[in-house]
Amino acid sequence: MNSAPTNWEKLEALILLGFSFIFTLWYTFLQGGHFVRLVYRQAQTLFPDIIPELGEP
Amino acid sequence: MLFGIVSWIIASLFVLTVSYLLHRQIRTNSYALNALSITFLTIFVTTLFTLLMGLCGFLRPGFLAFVSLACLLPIGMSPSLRKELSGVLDDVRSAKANFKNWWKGLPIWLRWFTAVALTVSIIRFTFLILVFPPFVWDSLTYHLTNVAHWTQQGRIELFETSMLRIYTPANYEVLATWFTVFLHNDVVIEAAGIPVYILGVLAVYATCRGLGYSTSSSWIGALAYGSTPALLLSTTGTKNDPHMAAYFLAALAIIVDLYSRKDKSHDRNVLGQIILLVLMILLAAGTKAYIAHLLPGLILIGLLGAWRLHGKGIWGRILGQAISQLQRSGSWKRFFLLVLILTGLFVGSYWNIRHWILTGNPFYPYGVTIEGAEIWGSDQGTAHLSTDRLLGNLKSLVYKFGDRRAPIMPDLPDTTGWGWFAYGLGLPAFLWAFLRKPKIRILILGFIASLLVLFLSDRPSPWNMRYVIWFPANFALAFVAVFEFSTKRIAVIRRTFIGLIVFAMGMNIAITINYGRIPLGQFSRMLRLPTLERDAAKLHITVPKVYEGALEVVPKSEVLGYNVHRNGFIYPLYRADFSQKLTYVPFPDGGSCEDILDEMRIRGTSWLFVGNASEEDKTLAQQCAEVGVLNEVGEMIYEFSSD
Repeated sequence: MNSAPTNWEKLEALILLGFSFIFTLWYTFLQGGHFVRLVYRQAQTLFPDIIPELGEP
Repeated sequence: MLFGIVSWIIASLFVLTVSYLLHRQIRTNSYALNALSITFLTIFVTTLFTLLMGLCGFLRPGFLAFVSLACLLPIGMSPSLRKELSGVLDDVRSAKANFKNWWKGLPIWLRWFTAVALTVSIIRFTFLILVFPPFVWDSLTYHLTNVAHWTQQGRIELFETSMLRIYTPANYEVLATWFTVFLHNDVVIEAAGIPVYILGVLAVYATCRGLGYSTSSSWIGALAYGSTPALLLSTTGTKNDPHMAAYFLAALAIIVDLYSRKDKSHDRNVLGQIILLVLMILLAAGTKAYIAHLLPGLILIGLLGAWRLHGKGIWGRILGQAISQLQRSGSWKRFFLLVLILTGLFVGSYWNIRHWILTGNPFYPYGVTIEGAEIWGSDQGTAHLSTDRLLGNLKSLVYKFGDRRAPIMPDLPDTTGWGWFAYGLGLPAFLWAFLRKPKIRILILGFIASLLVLFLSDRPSPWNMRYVIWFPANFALAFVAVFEFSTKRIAVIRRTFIGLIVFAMGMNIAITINYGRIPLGQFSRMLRLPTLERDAAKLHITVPKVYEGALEVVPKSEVLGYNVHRNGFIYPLYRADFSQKLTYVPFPDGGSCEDILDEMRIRGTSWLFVGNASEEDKTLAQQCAEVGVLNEVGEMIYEFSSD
């Protein structure tokens, strides 16, 4: 049987979750930009008349 | 084509039969390790069988099927082997029942997630394998050039070309040949990475189980590693790095199980596990030499892990147990195991011994320097350990950390390729587990040791992280510890973590759908072509358009002479069905047009392609056309002048 988590364990788990959230946001900011540009460029090749070309960052 | 498919089925039946018989001898009483064992042995036996047949010049569907049938016959007639084989139905039933229990033991969200992830993965892999021909740089220069030549000639042999790296250990190329030889086409060549992808994922799962984590947390860890962009991209990227990662991680799973599990029963089969471990290292040694750099980390994990749990002497006891099991084995089993070890030695050392005999340097075309002293010289490059290289690689890692410089692509230029899960959930878990979980700390130390030794030798370059795709497994392992710790009875934390897991893995898959670089125009261009005619020369991602132009001019029935520089693409010239015969036409230093013509005459070709030659050689070919010795019949493609 698992014993009930102590308040310290709950706090530790919460801190871990918080850091995971922050790191996920950080990576989304870093690599996500490339992903958005990639999707944009693909969409631009599909609809060149509607979507303007993307300049280099 | 039908004959090829039937031959493939027969040969696969033989390989599976032999793999199963071997598995019976070395399997243990852990389901996770047994899944690992049968997957690895199938890869091992396939490689061994293809290598032997190739060296004998029997790489033809008919030969492979005939030899398979000829070997299956005595297996079926031998009473003892028949008895072993009769267990297959029981084993399948037992595996089915175990899978059912395992599946029921997973939480509902994870069952749904697994089902969706598997479906998406199958569709994604199938699509990428069938739609795109190979396009990754090293594959087009040397990995697949070997495969194409061997498939075309029906024999594993050396051949003349400007690309000296065709000499490097080539167990991956042998396995890839299994995926081309039956259809005589490269339509499914990218699938050669799938077995090792499965092996790598199973290895992470087995390691987590060996460390005592629950089935559901371990499975999350396995899925997390399986979603790593660098791994996903290289799996169908026709490279040997996912193979190295899988063998490294599979060896880790066995080591962890050996020192962690307290079970001393005979069924555990310590002897079998040690043999399996040796085979994994040997197969890796014949795939790429950098397993030597990764071994120190594995040894460190083995020593520290055993020391933490049992103090000194555990490895001596494990070896003693293995020896006593060997002594208790019957003569038939001992013979079986001896043959297995000998074949492992053959697969692990064949390439280096061949080069030692032919060139006097087992690591040809690379030289080796130890402490400044040249052991084997070479003009291609020298392997050595240096702190300059270590610093260069560490700086490069810092530069690439976070994947902020570029989109993630198969060769990993300027990125680590570790993806959302490793950075978002894995990195904090990695830091926390290092401080709080001694059993994970040991793995982290081992992974870092392997990384540092590899960085001591690896040449710093924008692409160096492709040798490190095993490292993100560490983030997955650390996260398993976090998940087990954090989600115990704290529903809201569990739910939020689940949300992050689904998001991170989903994004990992999303960014790899088009390899991070293939425009939609190339998708539709490839889809318009018949499946079996998707030549590498027709996909203009890495390969210049002049290749396609040359293949439109040169008839399939004629030998095409080519001259490419020392890192030029050769593979696309073979065509998807390997129908184009090729010959390398070297240009002598300071040579004249007459010299080139002589070289072409000697090699029996009237065609010369210089689309990927050095600028100097391109200029010389152009001058020969200007004086009328060669006719320029297309861009960078020439024919003997008939005037």
